[in-house]
Amino acid sequence: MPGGDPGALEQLASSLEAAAAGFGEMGRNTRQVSASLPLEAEWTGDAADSYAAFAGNLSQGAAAVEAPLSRIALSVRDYAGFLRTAQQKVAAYASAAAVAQVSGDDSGYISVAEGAAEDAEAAVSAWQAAGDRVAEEATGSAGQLGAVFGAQGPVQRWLGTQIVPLETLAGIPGLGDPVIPQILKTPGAEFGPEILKTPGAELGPEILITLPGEIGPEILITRPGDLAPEILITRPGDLAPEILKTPPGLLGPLINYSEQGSAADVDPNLGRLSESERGTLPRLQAMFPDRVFRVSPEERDGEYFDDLGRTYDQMGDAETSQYWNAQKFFRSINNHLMKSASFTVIDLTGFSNHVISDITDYVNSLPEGEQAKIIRIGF
Amino acid sequence: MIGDAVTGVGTEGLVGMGQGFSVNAAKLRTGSEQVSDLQSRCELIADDAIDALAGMASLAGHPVLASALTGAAGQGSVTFWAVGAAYQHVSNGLSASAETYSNTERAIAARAGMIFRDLR
Repeated sequence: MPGGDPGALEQLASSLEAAAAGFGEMGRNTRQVSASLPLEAEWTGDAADSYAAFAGNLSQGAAAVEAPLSRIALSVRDYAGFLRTAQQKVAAYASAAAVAQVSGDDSGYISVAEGAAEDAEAAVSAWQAAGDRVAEEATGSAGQLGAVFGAQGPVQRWLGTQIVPLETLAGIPGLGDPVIPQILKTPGAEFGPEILKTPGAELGPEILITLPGEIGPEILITRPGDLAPEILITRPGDLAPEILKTPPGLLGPLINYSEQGSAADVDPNLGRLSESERGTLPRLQAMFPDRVFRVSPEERDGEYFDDLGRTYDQMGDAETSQYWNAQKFFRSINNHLMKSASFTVIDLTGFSNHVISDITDYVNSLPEGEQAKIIRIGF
Repeated sequence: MIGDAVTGVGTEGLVGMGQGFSVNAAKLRTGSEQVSDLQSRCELIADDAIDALAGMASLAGHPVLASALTGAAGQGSVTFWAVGAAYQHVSNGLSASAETYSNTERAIAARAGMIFRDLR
């Protein structure tokens, strides 16, 4: 039975449509304010011109958010229909099969069950294809969301000078070198103080630290140029160091946020993973929410194992993908598949589209048995 | 732009600036508040959008789609932050401009008062 909740998806699509319309309205309101204010205030000159250009660009950007959000909402609504049909057809098949069994394999009932099986198979194929299609749509729309201000507009130029909050930007590849740390290191097993990252070459010290001996860990950050540390997050009542967790995302770790948790949440073997292997873990967990993943203590057991003892070998590092060598990567896939791990996780998060296309073609060309051992992320 | 020649000082909020133009600082303040309201509205809508995208990802039942929607939610977070920050920048800029023009008005008024007091 295909998972997912079509009814809830349709409701969320309605919410997203409302949000999209809200951005459109905001864009129009902003344009109105930006156009009328200089006239009403009798404001002219360089400052007024700069304001008009910036606010005009802002109104365009806000309005431009509407289209991609609407497209995602529409596509997901469409997908929900395929999902519902697939679930209904599979349920109908299960029912028909049960009736046929109870009937003592009566040919009439078997014929009905076979027809239901064909319907279910077709509906499941259509649902899977719809999911793939909507995923592409969502990815394309996300790309449009990233360019709402245009490359050369005054807002984009101004944003280039701004410090983006950690919880918004941390860890996003391709957004240049923000003044703040990009990747927040996930704490290890220690319960004492832990300096997460001290970037060099910045104007001022930046230390993310979990204070020792505090009942409620605090993350302190001193932004470059600031004279005093700023308390970013205080989680009272936590007994363990804060976990900075990177949820899955197409472009890599997207949001670093703190999660209240116990000491049990800190995997003691996390430190042995590379950055890319650490990044894959939450994406894998999100893909299989019903499994519990842990870091394998030994390299020979791959990078992760789950609650059923199955092992997972990870490959794919966006950092190294810039030195793309197709044959080398394909050989590496073959080597991974020959290992003893139950699954090979290929994570292409952050890879370029043409590389993803090459790898997809190669993986699709492998025998079905080998493909079944591959878990695809970011394809 | 504040010019060399001040052409006149008006009532509260209407500041006569150089080169024969004037600025209504009170209107700029009102504009700043309007833009600040838009920023607040933006944050509310952005929260709804992110909640919807993240919810879709968790309920999609299709790993590839879930991953794409999570990516969209992440990009949305960045974009919405940028939109909100730009609103704040405009609002702060208008407020600061209004303050600057008002201060200029007060300085001119004080200076003019001293000049005319000296003439009495």
